[in-house]
Amino acid sequence: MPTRKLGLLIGAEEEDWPSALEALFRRHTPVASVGGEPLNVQVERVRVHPFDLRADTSYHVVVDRLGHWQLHPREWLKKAALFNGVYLVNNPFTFQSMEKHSAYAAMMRLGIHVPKTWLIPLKSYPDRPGYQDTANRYYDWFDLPAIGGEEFGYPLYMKPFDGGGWRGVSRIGNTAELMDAYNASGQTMMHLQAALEGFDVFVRALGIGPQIRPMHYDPSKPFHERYVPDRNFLSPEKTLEMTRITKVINAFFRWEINSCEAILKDGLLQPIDYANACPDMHLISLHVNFPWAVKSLLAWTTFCLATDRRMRLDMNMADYFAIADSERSYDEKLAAYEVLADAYFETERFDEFRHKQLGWLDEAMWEFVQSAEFDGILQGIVRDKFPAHEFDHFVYHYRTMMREWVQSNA
Amino acid sequence: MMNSKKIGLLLSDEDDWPVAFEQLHRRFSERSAGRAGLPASTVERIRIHPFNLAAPTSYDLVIDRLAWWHNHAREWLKKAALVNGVTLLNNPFTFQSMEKHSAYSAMIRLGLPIPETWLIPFKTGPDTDKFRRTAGRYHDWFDLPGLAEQIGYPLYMKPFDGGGWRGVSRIGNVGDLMAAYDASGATMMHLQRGLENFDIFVRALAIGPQVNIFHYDPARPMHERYQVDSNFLSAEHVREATAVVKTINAFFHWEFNSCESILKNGVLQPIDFANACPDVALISLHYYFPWAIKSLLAWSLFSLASERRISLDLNTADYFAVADSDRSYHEKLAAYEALADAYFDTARFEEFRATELADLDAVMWELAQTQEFDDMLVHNVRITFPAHEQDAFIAHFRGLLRAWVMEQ
Repeated sequence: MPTRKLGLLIGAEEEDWPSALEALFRRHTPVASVGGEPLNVQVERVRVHPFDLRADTSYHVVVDRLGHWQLHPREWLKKAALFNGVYLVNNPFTFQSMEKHSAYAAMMRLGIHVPKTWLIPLKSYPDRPGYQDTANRYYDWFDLPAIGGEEFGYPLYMKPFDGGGWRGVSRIGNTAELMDAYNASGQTMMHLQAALEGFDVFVRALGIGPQIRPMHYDPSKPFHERYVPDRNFLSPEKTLEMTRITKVINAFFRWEINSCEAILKDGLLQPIDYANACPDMHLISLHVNFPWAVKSLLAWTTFCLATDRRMRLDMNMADYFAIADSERSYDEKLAAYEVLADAYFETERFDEFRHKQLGWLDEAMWEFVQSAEFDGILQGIVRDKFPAHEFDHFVYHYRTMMREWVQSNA
Repeated sequence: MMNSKKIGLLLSDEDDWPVAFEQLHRRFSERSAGRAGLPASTVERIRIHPFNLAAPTSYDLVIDRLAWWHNHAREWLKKAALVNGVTLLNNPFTFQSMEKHSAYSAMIRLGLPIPETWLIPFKTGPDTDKFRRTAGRYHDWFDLPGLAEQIGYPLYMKPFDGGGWRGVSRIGNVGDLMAAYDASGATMMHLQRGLENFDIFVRALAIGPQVNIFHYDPARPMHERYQVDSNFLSAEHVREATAVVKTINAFFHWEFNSCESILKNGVLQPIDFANACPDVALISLHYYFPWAIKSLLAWSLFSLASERRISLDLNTADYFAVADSDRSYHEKLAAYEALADAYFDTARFEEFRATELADLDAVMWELAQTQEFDDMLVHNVRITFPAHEQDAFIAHFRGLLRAWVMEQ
């Protein structure tokens, strides 16, 4: 089998997981074998320049971390998918046109317990000819305090209809806060969403292909402390449900690196944020989960390269909707959706590949984490993200956490 | 008896086709009331207000003219499609994420003779440290004059997205090139080989499987661009232009779109074909306006009567399989058109048009001669042209519509 090329389309702020991934590929060559032939994977960082829409490409698979905020790479990705048939992780089309709002709408249709959500018209009209005239003719007046107080009740959250992370999210406790937040929203279109306070557990799951890892998450902490190193925070039933929900969302939208946040309250697992084109993969955020993320990315991209997996631009939402519209319980539907998701991800074939071809991966990662090269990556990201006077403190902090990971995985 | 259905119009400030559509719908509903294969329907202009994402809707089908520039309307449409299963003209998902650039890329893959096109990084990136660091590490220097030389002058610089003629410049030399690039700022641009000294400029309007091919002169003012001329293209090229626009629309699940092509040296080359809101203004279409109105109503009524569901799942893989096969361009185009006809259910539509809607043509013909239609015409001339030109233009458009009436 000839060499296959993996492109990393990344921004300058990411040096930790790309370096770790590159190192692992370099340390174990060939990475796998296909039909008795060695599979060599060449990892290359994609560069940005003018391109002919008919140009060939040398990439077979591209991991994209840039398309969600940079137009030129996003449009290069689309051309690579449509013209060249390159396999993309993630799908730039659905991440553009089915972001947070559509993702809510579709998962509500599937019967997932998304909290009640409304979309509110813009506070300030864009300076565009026709906007004011259209508003005069076709907009209804609406009573925002009544929506806040009667349809929802306080507290509630106001958050942008698109985009991820915590940007622009406010907790609204009363009418005055509602009006202040709306007035401040300007030209950003906002959702109102029922707040889930006094919850039992906040879960964040990272999904890479069919590999799903639910993690205990504390959004009230600073970034580097949000992932709580605690593997027994959720019952086996809820762990399974969280795994299914994340896998189903990702297969439905063809997202192959995504994170899903859900709140467990009164026994209901309620997803609130799950359209993240570029989920946080930093060592300083993931710490003891970082080796899992890097291994999973290597395993999924290698599987895609080795099996010549074709990118599926054509969705199969109708299959999901047929189940949604059937007379089944929520648990039965979720199980049926998962069957579709596993078919999309070829989960069984992947699991076998991971087991037979990438058996070396766990030990290689374990050794790599103890290497000077890994420590260099760790120091690099701490230097980049923390003030100089905290460097020693945080290097010590992360070294300790990674040492604990090494010991508990010995 | 089927339940009454509701057609929603999602509009901006258009005052011509929605009025004519409502008039035609009312008259045709009166004529066809009780017809077994045709459900009763109402038409309503959609209003904008806050909405619950889980809310039901009373609309069965929505003709959208707003979402391409209006986010709230666009996101309401997506909810209507995903939660309520409403049928939409057009698909808001592909019109957002597969606009001009993706449409070029996909149609190039299908083998359509799109002129050579390059995408250039924007002149002015976002003013953030994050962007500057990334550009410093991963952006290559490039030689724009060298690239233009390679494509050859004249060429066109045009925004990678959006339709119409906004932001398009003809580039004759390196001076024009650098001036246009400097002026492009944060708008990302294509460079496209110019097709000058062409034989014919063709514009196709397509509504469902209904296609009309027009002789178009982009050099003229808006109200003179569509030429009243039905013999400007050979029968073969009419068929080809029809197959091309149907292929594009079925590929992206667009049901109301226009396609511009240039015929030069015998090759029909599409250059603009992702128009979420194609021009159907009375002032532009004039003589062809009645065709657009009745086609829009025919497709809407067929969609309602056949309970056609919006298909959000594309079948691009079927087209790519044809593209990657060893067939000639014309064989491929025929195969694409067969896929398109399957998508549009064309045979069934034509049967429906010829039976249940057989008298739609007569109703449109009558409508074009009524006072209410003339009032609509006069109103639109008055809001479009300066006062001193209004009388002349009223006479001009009345004459074109009268010519249409005479010829039917």
